[in-house]
Amino acid sequence: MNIQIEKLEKVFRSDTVQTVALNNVSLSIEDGEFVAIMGPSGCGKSTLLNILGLLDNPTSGSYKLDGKEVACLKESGRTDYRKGRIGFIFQSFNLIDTMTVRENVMLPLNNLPLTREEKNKRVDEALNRMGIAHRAKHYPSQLSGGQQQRAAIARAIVGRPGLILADEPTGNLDSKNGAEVMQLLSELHKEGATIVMVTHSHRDATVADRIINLYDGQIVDNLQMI
Amino acid sequence: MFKFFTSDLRRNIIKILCLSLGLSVGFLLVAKIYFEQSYDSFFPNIDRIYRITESVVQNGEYKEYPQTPGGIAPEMQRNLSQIEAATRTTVLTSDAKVKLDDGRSFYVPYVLLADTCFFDVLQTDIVEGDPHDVLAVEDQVMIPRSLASKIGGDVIGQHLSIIEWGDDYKAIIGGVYEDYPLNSSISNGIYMSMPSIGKFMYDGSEFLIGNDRYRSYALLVEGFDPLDVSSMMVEHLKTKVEEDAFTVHDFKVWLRPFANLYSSQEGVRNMSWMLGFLALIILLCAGLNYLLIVIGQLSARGKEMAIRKCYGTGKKTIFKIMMMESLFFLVLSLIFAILLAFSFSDTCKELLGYTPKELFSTGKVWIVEGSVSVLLLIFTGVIPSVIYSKTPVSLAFRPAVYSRKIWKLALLAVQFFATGTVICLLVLVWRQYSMVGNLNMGLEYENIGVFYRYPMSSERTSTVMKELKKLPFVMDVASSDNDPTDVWNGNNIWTEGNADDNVNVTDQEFVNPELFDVLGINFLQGSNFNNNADSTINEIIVDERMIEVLHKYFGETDEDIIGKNIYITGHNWNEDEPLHAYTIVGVIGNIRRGGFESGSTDTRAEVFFPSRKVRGNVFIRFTELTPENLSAAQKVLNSINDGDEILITPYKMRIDAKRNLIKKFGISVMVVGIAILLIALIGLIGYVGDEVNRRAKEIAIRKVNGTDAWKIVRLFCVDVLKVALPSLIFGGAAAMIIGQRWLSQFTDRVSLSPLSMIACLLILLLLIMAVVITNTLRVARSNPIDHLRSE
Repeated sequence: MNIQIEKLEKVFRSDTVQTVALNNVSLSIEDGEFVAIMGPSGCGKSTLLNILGLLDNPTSGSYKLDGKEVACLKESGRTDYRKGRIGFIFQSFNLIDTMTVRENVMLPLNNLPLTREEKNKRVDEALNRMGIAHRAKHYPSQLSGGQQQRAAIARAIVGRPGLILADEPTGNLDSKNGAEVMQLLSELHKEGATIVMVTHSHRDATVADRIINLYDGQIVDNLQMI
Repeated sequence: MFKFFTSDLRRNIIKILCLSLGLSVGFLLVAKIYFEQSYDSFFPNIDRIYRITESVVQNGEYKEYPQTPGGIAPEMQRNLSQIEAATRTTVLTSDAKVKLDDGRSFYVPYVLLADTCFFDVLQTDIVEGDPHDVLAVEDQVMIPRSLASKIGGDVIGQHLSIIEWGDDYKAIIGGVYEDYPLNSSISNGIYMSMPSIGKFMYDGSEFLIGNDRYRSYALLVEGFDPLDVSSMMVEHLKTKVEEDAFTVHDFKVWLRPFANLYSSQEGVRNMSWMLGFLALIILLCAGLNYLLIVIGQLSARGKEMAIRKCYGTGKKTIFKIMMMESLFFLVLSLIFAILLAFSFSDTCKELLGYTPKELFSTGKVWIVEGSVSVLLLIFTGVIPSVIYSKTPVSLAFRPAVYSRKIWKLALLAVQFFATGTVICLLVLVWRQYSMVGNLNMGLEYENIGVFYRYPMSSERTSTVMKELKKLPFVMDVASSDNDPTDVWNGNNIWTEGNADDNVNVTDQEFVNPELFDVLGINFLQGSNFNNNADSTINEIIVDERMIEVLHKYFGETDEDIIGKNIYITGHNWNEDEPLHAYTIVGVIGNIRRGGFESGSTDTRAEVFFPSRKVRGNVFIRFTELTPENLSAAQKVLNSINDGDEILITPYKMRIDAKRNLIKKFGISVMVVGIAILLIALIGLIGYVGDEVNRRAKEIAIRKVNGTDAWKIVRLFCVDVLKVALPSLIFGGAAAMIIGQRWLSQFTDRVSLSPLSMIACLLILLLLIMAVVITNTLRVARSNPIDHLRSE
């Protein structure tokens, strides 16, 4: 998926305080590219990721996804556009506690016009690929952290999205499980997925094609990896 | 100290609001039930007081009468040593206005005749005078303390005239008795000495058979069985009365306990049962709603309790804290409930018949209300206390994950059930009310005005009637002794050769021949009296029911009964002459008499006698009964009437008043229904709010993964629907069972109509869904990041 951002701004306002989270950010990400976004806490990394994932709207500026302007979409429009196009991976996994692993992975497919057989087939593929098929009937609380994140990745890819957004995907994992998750993301990238990952880890960032550094809501560095 | 209250102010205010509303309505209903069920219980030695009741078998039908011949009570007192005292009383007039010599006047509910031991039997406190002396002397009366207080000063020896009877007759106040409480079958009226009877009516006060107009009461000597004494009474009567009465009509007198005389009436039992059900439902809903909110507060307060436990607070202490909090909420709600009840005092009086002050001061009602409060405290205090005292300490270190959905849904289910029941019942009551309003009364009442002429003289009334007829918008005027739609005493009829087979019919006494035209009453057979017909002519008009009576009991076979002769008691003015027969000249369609409840509807055949004289009730037929026309007619009346004001009222008001019992019950159900609906909806809003908070993360994740707002709303709707649908269906079924019981008291009743119940339940379901949708849509449309960020 192709991403074009021009002069993007995001301002949070409360009764007494106004916080500029993103300030005049312009960015271009090519289809199939793996980009890591780094920076200190509070620099606007997650805010940028949320806007890229159509979870939030910018205060001003332009955001084009595959050439379509999406910066001013309403909530329902954003939800519609996300369906099957964007997959999310969170630091805290965000699995639904009351649903089994299989049901969690099935979640994005419930909103797509697919037959039951097709949905089941895709879920099985995703679970097998993540190596947690044997855990399909378990609840998230019965899984280790690594397994939970694999389930979350399975959910992110089951809809075969063009764009995968990962917010510190290894943040809650030990080094071994973290490495395995990065390996999975790397494989997805090789298969053609566009990935944007927010991370604090330099080691994880080296897997990406490009590293963008943010500071006080502005891009201060844009490094192409060789 | 009240941090627990202020820390979650919104929910705590809702707790108090719902409890106050529930307690207010619930406590009033409980007080009303207590009021009805404790009728007459305050009389000392109530277990020894009995009403002498009469029963006969007439034409194969068992009939029981609360009134007896006048001589029964004194005869039994004189001859049966098992009876300590026996008395009888009879009504002279009701809703009477009495006047003092100084011109001041007062209303009294009744003027009655009573004998000397009346206050002994009922063990009444005497304030002044000796009733044995007072009630033994002609023209002497005993008055209640409330009337004596209104009169003021020394009342003994003062003269009282009853306005209805004119100024010629004056009674003398001889004594004062203590008022009976409001829930007493014995009236706080003026009791006149029995020897005065001859001045007002035929004196049959010593008859042992016939002239059954006396209420008789007996006080038994301690230790005697009323059944044995009843048998002795019959045996004694057999020595005094002709054997025929016992063999032909199985005439009996027997003792009926006075204690439950009122509360055992079908209508009272039905009403108490219904009100009890409504009270239980609303108190239960209020309590459940409280619990629902408490459970909704678990995640926040659970952590607090876990931290307290970390620092050594024991289960007992937590239990105590929660009980104290519940007590605080209950006491505060009680105060608001009482304020609420008293601020709607007039409405309460209108619906329940008494003000909150009167209901809450009945006997020991506070013990009942106190017990209900304690039960509520146990209900709303113990359950939260147990839940919170079981809070795991680990909750202090990790976020609380409560899944009390089942609990909450169960509580909601009961509330939906209650709402469904009461609202369906409400619809049924209103349908019955509307149906009764559209029933054919057998006469026209829309453009009719009516007034009761007394104490205006017959001469002046006659002038009023003549003047009214001259008004261009008055079609005709006529008078009658009785209001044809009311229930009146009857007399017995028979045909030639069937003197032993009497049938009791309603005696409408005398009417002007014009009455039938004025009230638009149709003739089915024959025609009206001759315009000159008066009381000397032996002609009568009967209703359609008389055809059935003549066929069933007297072997008549002709459908046409015009020209048939019947005999009737009570119209033989000269006792020395033999009874003469009356000829039927007209048969009218049946007129509906009495109320609409089975016990108050009079279905006996009726008979009218002609009279040219002015009678008590004057009916005016208007071309159109507008306020202006009514006012003009009133002016005519006022210009001729020289005494107290007499009002012409629309006849429709009297007819509508007969439907008042249903209307009042309908409004009572409506008040309870609205209160329960409010409580249930507040509970539902609370539930949805809690669920939305509890599932905020889930909603956000679903949204991130492409689920749209309506699908999320649908999730909540389905959850609530699973509970609401069966609960409402069960509620509707319960309403049908209760409604069937309620309807059984009416002679004419609507069908239960499952369709109307289903429509009603569907509307409720839509309302519930609307509440769920409006309360979830906002969250479903919100930015999911807000909820994921808080994670």
